[in-house]
Amino acid sequence: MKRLATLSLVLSFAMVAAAVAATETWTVDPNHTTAQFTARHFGIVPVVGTIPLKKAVVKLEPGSQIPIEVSAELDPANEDTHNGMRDNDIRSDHYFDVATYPNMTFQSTKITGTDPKHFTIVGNLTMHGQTHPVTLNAGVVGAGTTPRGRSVIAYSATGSLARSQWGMSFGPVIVGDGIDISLNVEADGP
Amino acid sequence: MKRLAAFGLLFSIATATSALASTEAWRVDPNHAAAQFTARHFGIVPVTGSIPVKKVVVKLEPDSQIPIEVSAELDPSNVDTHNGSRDNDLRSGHYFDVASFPEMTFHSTKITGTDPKHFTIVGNLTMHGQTHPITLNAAVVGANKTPRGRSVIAYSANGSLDRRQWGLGFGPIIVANGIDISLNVEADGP
Repeated sequence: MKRLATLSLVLSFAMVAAAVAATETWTVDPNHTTAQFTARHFGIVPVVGTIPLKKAVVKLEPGSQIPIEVSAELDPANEDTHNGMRDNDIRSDHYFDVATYPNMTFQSTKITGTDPKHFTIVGNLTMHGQTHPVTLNAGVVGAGTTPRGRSVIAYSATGSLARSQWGMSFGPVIVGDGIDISLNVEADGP
Repeated sequence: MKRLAAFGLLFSIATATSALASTEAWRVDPNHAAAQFTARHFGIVPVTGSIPVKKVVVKLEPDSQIPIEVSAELDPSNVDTHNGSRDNDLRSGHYFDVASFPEMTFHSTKITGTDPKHFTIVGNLTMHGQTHPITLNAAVVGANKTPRGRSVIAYSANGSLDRRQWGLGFGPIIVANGIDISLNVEADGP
């Protein structure tokens, strides 16, 4: 009995070890990834900007397109709304204050769903020196193999946040509090 | 009878003239207008870019938010996909060939619909030296007055086109032929 118990224990350790070892780390290609935000001028006019991605990683289990973990570093110092004056203002202490808070990161805490076209990512977004959860509705929008034989999965994700939660509440009449987020991500297989 | 017919003719001319006279030309603020396109890397991964809007006019009849005419000038020389070498490639003879064809314009030919939240704009898009029709699904997404009392209407519109139609067929494996268009426009009242 003791031997059987030991064998089961060893077997379950081995299985856990095998499962952990099999998790794949896919690299997100910053050149084909867009992190876009939409603010509303006067609360009504959508104005779109992007924040460059420095680095992001998607962890997948083999055979599944739904990540088990997602993490990203972004670069708010180079946010871009195609207007020099506006961008300087956004980077200033009116909004991002990139001189004081150059870092912006996202780390998933919980990913749920069984349909690769509709799953949910909850994670912590850190910007302007504060960390709060955001929820993203995500989905695979395409998958294939590049001409050079590398696996690629394209994800889209959307969500919204209230900028005041991160202490970025300047100018509420000119710019609405609600900010929409839209991400298009290219994940390249290992 | 002749006098009645003459009067009728005069009256209808006068009505037509006053209708024309009361058409309002709303200016689009380029700082709060975005023309965005999405191409698909390997036909899979959405990659977005924008083309600056130089000038847009929206003609409206009083009390209607559905335009009777829309015209726009865009600036493909300043196409921006947040990647210097890709943007240079897009401006080159591979794609827009901005040295030969610096102009890009849109002019509506027919606007239909009675619901400001869902109407259709058909018009001619000129780019890369060719003119072909495109159809945009458009909507009012907000309307308000600015703190200074000026009327503002926010429009969104989207559509798709096949770039080959404009002679922009280079690199069909790396970039799919179908290009999605998304516009967000702030129209300011006269």
